[in-house]
Amino acid sequence: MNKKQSLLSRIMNPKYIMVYATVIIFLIIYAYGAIRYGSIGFTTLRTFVNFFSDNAYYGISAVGMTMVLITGGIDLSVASVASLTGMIIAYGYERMGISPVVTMLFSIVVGVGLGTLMGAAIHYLNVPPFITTLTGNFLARGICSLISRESISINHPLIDALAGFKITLYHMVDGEWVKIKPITNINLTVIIFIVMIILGTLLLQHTRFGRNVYAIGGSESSAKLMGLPVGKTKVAVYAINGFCSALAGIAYVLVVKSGWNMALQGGELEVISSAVIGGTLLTGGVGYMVGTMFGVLLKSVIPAIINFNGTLSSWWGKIATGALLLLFIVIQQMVVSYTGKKKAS
Amino acid sequence: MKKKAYLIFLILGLIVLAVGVFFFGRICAVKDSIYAKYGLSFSDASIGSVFINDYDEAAVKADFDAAVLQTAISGESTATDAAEAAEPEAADATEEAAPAEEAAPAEDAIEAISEGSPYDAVIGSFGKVQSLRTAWKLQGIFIGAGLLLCLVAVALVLRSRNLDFAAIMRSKITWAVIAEILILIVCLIIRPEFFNISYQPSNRMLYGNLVDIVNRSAEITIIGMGMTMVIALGGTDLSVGALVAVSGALALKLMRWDPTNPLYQTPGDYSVYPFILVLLVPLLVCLLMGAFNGVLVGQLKLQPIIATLILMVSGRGIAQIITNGKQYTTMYSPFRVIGQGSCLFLPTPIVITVLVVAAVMLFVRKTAFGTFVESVGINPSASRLSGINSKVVILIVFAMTGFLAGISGLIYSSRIMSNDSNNAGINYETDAILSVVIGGTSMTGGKFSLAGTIVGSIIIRTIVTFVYYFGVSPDSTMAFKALIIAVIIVLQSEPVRNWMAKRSQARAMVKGGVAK
Repeated sequence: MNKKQSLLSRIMNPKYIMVYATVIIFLIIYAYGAIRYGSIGFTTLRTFVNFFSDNAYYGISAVGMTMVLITGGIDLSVASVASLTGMIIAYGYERMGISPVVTMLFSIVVGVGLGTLMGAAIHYLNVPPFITTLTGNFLARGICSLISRESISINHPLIDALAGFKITLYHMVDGEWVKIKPITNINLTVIIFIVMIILGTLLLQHTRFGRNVYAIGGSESSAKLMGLPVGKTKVAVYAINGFCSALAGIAYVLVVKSGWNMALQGGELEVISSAVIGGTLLTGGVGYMVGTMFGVLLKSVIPAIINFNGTLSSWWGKIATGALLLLFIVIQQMVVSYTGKKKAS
Repeated sequence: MKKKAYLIFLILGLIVLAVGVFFFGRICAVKDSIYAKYGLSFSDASIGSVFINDYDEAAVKADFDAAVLQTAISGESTATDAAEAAEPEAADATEEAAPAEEAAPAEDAIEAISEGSPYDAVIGSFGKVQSLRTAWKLQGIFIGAGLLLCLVAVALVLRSRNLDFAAIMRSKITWAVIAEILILIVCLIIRPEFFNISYQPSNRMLYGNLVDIVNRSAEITIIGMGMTMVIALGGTDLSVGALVAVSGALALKLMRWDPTNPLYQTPGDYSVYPFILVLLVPLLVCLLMGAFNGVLVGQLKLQPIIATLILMVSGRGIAQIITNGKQYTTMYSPFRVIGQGSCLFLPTPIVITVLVVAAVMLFVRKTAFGTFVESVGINPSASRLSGINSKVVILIVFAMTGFLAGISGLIYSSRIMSNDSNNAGINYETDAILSVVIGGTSMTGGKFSLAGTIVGSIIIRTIVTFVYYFGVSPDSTMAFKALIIAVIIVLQSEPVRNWMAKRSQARAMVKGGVAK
């Protein structure tokens, strides 16, 4: 707002401190991995790109989730909506012979529709978001199971083509472009993930809608008194989140090439915790897409380290994630209370 | 007039219920006589299939006689799968694996057989097959109708006492009871047999869908007691499902752990450690884990959802580390009693639930603790200023929830006689939260209702049992559950209730005007 502010003071704005904390912790863990496992390929570009592609579908969903969390709400239905998307695409093509293009569009409509419905219930019926979206979660998961109880694999050229689409990275060696070794590919899910993060950032930081979202999260009643369109914004946020879940479902289909009714179970908490690790406050009003992106990256660094270690069992991953979460929210708490004190004094 | 209405319903309901119980008693008498005479449980013998509409009488007779003879010869009853499958409550029979039955007096049975066909004797003792079947059908209708009338009476009591004052909480419970009534009415119309209760003389236990609903809701009800108070504080506890897994893993680990054995493992039918230790250690660990949540929320002032998310994520990992990723099974008989035994003719989980609920209610309502919780939930800083140590209140509530989750874990693992770190207690947190909310406690904190939570958890279980009973696959139960819960929640939501209250008020005013 103040254009005279120097770049440094803008960067050092305390509101970004959580994002910085996330980035720093990501760098620390990455450095640890690089020192311990650098010799066996931890530092290659390929490993780094894999951090993005491992959890790209969670990342896509986290874009919508961040917005929902900023308004002070929560959405527990994202994983089942994504799973429903996969089911629709798989069943539509394999059992009914409908082209994936149609089913993809249809599933996005379903996602947006469910999101709008839930948003309307939350705003107009005053049902707590937790309960509304939990019901939505059950509904979507149940519909998945009604469609089919077993995994359906998809064999369609379009899906194969989309899944196989990749940009191979080159670098300059002696004035000639050669492929980076080991060969590093950026596939479509990563591109969608990054595009969504950029779009989300633009929407939140540079539009009136984004400011409304932050205002509602700060104080819903104040936003209402200021004459902001609270109802419309909230419903729109849930609709956008529905869109993101459906898109995440499509990305997941591109990864596994099948639809399964129990796919991504518990994924909603992965998504929420990614956003929270990225500095989004569950009470609303605070949160940045960049932080969320690093939250998602952190979620894939830990399994990568466990993989590279090779002797740790996968359940240590769960405990490590829990410990990391603990570390994060403690830092968050300290930062919040510190800035609170500073404001008070 | 309005106040008397519920009395009429109650008396009528009790009378109808009594008729149902009378039919139940007649069937029980037949079962008892069979058990006394031949040492056969009703569901073991193909006599159970007389309840199916078209049954082959000659085949049943031959089967039954053969079963009796075999029992007499081998000296112990044989549970033939075929006979169980023919039983109308096949679902119960398979779910609740009947414990080993006692040996029957062989000489008596052989003597009895020599007197004539046992089948004729049984049917003779009751009259005709037709009347046995009629009794079976009528039992369901009468018990169901009686129960419904009693529930209507309860709803009327709640309504007449509170809707006038627009006491939001209570009327939410009324809606919950009405929802339960509607679900049961649908059951009664489609399949009255849903309400049938049967009695198994061999293990002195009642069976049937109604018993099953209460039995299976035990875990959620127990957790719900703690969850109600957590929600009253304005939070949620997501870690209970993981704690259920931890508790089961610890119990099984202790039961199978034997440091003296070269394999460090017992064969499973005995435990090196005393039984009380097997129970106490998991409960204590869960209590501590709950207290950890409490410290995070109370001392560090973290948001409850995120604070408990930590244990939710890592709890299952901890459970797997305890058992080293193994899935132990056990045959230790005292442990079986917790989840599968019978106590006062009822499955033990029901009795445990009643005890736990009574203990929690006494603690919360007979001391000032409940008021403290409500006060902290409504306004933490105001309650701190009035001298309530909110940190301690929060700590106690979370620790208690952990402890209750531990009890649930023991019941769950005793039901399957095994530990299952990945699937034990899965979705328990959401089910418990839903029961609390359906029961009328607001997610924003403040006043809470433990009775409402019990109603909520029974509603959820009723939906599941109902859907199973009509043969829907377990996975897709969720869709029906979601639909019914959505209806309940929309009915309970503030705008709808305000609208209804306004309408009833308007109607009352019109009536009053006419009277004048």
